[in-house]
Amino acid sequence: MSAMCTLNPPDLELSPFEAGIQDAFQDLATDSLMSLRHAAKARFDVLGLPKPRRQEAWKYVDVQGLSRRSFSLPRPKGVDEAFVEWIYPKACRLSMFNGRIYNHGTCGMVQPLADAVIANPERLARLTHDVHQTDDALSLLNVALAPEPYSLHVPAGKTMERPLEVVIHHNKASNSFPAFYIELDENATADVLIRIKGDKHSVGSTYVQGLIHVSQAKGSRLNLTVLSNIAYAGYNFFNTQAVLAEDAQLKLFSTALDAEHFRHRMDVTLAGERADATLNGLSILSGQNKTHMHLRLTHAVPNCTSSQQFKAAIGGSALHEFDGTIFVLKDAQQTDAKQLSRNLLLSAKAKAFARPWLQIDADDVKCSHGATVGQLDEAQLFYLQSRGITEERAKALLTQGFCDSMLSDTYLDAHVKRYFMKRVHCALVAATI
Amino acid sequence: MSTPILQITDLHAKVVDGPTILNGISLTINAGETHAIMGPNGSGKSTLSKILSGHPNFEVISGEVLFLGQNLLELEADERARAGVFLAFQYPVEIPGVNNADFLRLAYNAKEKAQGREELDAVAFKDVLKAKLPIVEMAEEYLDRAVNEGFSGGEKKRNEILQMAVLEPRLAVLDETDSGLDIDALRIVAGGVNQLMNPQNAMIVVTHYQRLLDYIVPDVVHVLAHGRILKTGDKSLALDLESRGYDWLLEEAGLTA
Ligand SMILES: Nc1ncnc2c1ncn2[C@@H]1O[C@H](COP(=O)(O)OP(=O)(O)OP(=O)(O)O)[C@@H](O)[C@H]1O
Ligand SMILES: [Mg+2]
Repeated sequence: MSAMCTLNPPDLELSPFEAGIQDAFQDLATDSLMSLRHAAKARFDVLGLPKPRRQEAWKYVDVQGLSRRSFSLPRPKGVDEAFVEWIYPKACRLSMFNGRIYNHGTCGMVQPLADAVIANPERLARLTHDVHQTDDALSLLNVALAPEPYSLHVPAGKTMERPLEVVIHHNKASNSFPAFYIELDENATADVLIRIKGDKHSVGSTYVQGLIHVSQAKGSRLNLTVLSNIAYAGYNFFNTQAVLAEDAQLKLFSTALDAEHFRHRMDVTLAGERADATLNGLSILSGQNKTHMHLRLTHAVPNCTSSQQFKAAIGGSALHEFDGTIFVLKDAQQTDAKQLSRNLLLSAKAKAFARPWLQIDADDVKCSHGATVGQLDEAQLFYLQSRGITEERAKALLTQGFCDSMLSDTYLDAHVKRYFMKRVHCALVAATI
Repeated sequence: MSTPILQITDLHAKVVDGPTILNGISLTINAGETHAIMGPNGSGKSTLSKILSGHPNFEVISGEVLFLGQNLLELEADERARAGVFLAFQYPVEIPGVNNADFLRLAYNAKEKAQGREELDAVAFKDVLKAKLPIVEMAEEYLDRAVNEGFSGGEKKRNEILQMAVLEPRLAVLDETDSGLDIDALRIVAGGVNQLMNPQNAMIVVTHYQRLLDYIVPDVVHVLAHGRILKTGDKSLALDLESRGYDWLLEEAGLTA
């Protein structure tokens, strides 16, 4: 028996963040999602907060900064419907303001998940099963604690007539747990745009821990666009988890424009033959921004296709990280997968880490991956200058072109594209000064 | 006699941190003249063209280049272009994400502004551009694409001459504009170039083939080898080269091929 037995040795003391989590875990919501919430809590307790020193995927993420801030749930009351600028002229609209969600108008296919699972207990069982599989601890905070996760469920053969547009915004330091569970039945189609935006006048730091859970049945198609455009102090962590059945198609586009801390972990599993996933990303960073695009794409069955292209234009002393792995499992013959990370350094102190990775256990596959990190192309620069365009202007044009080509290469809707073009331009101005 | 458009005197130049390529080039081009430069691969034709347009990969060791009497070498590439020097690239560069029409307008306005004229907005410029398209028989749809991106070899060359038409340079250097063009395109592009020539401007045409010179008839033909002008003659020199190759010239100069 030891003579000394300190209950709380200093190095085991909980950070304010962890203490806040434990407090919040004390009274999990007692809604119809209770079993799911408890499963997530239990899994979180096993995994613990990410450990940057030991976990490669967290090495460059500012978990320390995060753990120093306080953790609290958004207040249950006080939904102020703030002014929101919508991109789609017609859409099913949800907004989240300082952590509380507001449903603008009715859309049959969109409802709180707690309501949706009542008639569909199998769905709850499946979600609970997924929780046990996850290795990303922060996503579990969302599952356990999100005050009001939403469901988008498109029945077989149906097309959502209007896209779902979500705006998440803040005007003061707050925490939010936006959660969207997208379920597409056979041959259903949907378009979803999720935008996180900052408010110039807000101060203090926000913490957004978002979750997009996607399950796509045979032949379904989903366009999913995520834009993080936060120009003030804040942590924006998103998890997208998608499983595609045969012939399903997912197009995911993730953008981080001038976001202080942004991490998007995308887990996509192609679980049915001929499923197809296109994952694209565009990040523009300035100042001390940190953006992390973390991808895990799994080809679990034969004959699926996937393509990833992530671009980043990095200014200031910002850091961009691309960490993407394609897993091709043993049975996944005839896989066609490609992955590319392109990083443009706009200043001497800008940093880019790119780790494109392939893990192939099948033998008959077509896979390619690559990464580039560099400055503007000299030949292009000279070409423009040789036409009378000044060096400064030529650089701006090429940088804009680097980013714009990502927008025009993608399937984006015209409204979204126009909005993005403007934002990209603003973010670039910030990145190049 | 008026000031020559271009006057090169004993120009020696090298690749930055690399070998010497040009070993003493002198030539004078007067307004209204077209000079052809021919010569074996690697002789320095593109190097000379790039040096005239201010390419940063090359360094002048000695010699002088006057453009309209002004020291060209002290100008940056973009300043030279605005002053009226134009290079049609042997290998035009693709610029994804930059719209061709926007690019042309930017280049046009840069020059207009430098010459103290009004810049044009997109709508007004479209009219200017539309008037230029027939010169190279180019379809309007190429304007909506990214600069040279995915253009065929011949389309890129046409796009070069379209830029020349838009910028109306005093001195145009066409570096193998004929390579990559099919027979019909060659006739069209050469016809376009001829339309752009006038008594006030001048042109250097770099080519390997006499065929281009049937359309763009040179006043003077220079043969460049090993970074030097071995021989200068009239258009009949090009015909001689076509039938006899370069060896006899190299031997005459005491050089071996
Ligand atoms: N950046 C460089 N570094 C090293 N050598 C170079 C560089 N650029 C050009 N050279 C060399 O200079 C020489 C002249 O090249 P240049 O492109 O001017 O030839 P050219 O006459 O245009 O040939 P072609 O008819 O094949 O177009 C060649 O030997 C080439 O390899
Ligand atoms: Mg050449």
